[in-house]
Amino acid sequence: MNGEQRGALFKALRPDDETVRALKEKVKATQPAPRRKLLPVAVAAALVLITAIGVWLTLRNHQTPPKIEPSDPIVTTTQPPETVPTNPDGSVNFSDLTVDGAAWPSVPQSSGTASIVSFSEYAVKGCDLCFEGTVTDVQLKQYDYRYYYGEKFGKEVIIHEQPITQLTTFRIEKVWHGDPTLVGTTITLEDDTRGLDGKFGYREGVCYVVLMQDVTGWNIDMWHPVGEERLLEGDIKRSSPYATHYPWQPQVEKAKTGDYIVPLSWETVTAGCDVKVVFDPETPYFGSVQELEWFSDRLRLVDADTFQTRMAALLAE
Amino acid sequence: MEKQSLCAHDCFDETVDRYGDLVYRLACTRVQTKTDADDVFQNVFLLYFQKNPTFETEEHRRNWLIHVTLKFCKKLHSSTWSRRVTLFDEFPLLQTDLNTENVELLHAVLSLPADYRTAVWLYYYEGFSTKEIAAMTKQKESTVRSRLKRGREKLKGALQ
Repeated sequence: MNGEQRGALFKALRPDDETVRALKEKVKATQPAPRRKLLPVAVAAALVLITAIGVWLTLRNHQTPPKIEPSDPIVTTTQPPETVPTNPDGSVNFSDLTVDGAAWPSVPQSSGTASIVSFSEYAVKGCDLCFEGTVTDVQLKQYDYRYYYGEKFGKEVIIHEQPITQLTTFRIEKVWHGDPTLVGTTITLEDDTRGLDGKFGYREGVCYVVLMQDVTGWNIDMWHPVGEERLLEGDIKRSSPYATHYPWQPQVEKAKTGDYIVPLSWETVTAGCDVKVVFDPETPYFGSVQELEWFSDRLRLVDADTFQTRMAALLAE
Repeated sequence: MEKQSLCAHDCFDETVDRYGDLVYRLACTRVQTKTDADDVFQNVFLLYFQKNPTFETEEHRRNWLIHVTLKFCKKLHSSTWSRRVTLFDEFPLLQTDLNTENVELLHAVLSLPADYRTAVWLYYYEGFSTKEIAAMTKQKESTVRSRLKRGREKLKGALQ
């Protein structure tokens, strides 16, 4: 539909003046929301509540002797585990936490950009399955195909793609959200490395907390999903109907100390956790470790108990 | 981004002028009769005035209006019996102002299941991105993309 026809369609589908006039008359006769009326009530209620809590605390302090509470889990997370060496700035090295020798698969780096929505930790309930599992196998698969692609504004091209996907098999050890009977089984996720970008690929022998989505019916070309595309040559059928829910950041990794290495985007899970995890030169990365520097400021070490508690809280919300 | 508070009462008339057509068009595609579209249009903006919500950005305001429009349409649709009247009966201008090809296409779009119809309408006719549609309809972007894809497949089948 061209601009002229769109204009004609939009012109025909407009509220008539009578409808708009009727609305404005109704609005004139309507009182606005009592937002301001509620404010004094809310303030008064808050004052009463604060006073009541104060009185209760005073009474409580007089009735029972003060006792030493066990340290808050948030406080304990500011201290790295004793078994792990600490850097002068208090951070810990990734290589000291991760499974020895677990190297990233070597895949070409992507230079493309995409409009990516930010991660929300509430995806633990929004994804199709959230599990904790150890990687038992990693394979790379190369596709080769050509397709016609036409955008809605008239751009038409033939694109030759040779994407590489990473097929990662996990042995499921715990199900956080989803079918609990899957514990003990294996599952294979297929992720396009253009999305994983190499930096975040899963590594064999490492245990991750994985947010998975079921992409049954999708083909491997996920990059122009809203254009008019037509396969001309090659095979685009995915090897696995499962994929990582949010592949554009490092996944939560279980350290060999039992703690968790968590990106800061898991806001409530990492709240108050000050121990940074930095990618040091010993990190088993196939490229220059400098490429990972951006994430060094965005990973935190969360102790196992705190992680379990906060994940449970997230799932209970 | 600097936060700003956009209150509904501050610029009610401007909001109706700015988003009224968008709300009305979307209502037309969902309820398919002029009377119902008029009702949805008025109810959306009345609620907007009564609730007087505050928005951080103009985009939030637009998303709120679209979301409420869809809710009203859904409510209306579930509370009335299925009508046989079509948009073209109600808006004769559509017959005269559009060429045959576009009339057929619009017929096919309006015949899609409601969720696919909304995604296709907002994307192809209103020009919003999948990210924007996801925010308006409070769905995952992947859901919007799959609805667009399946909607296109259904359209292709209907037009062949």
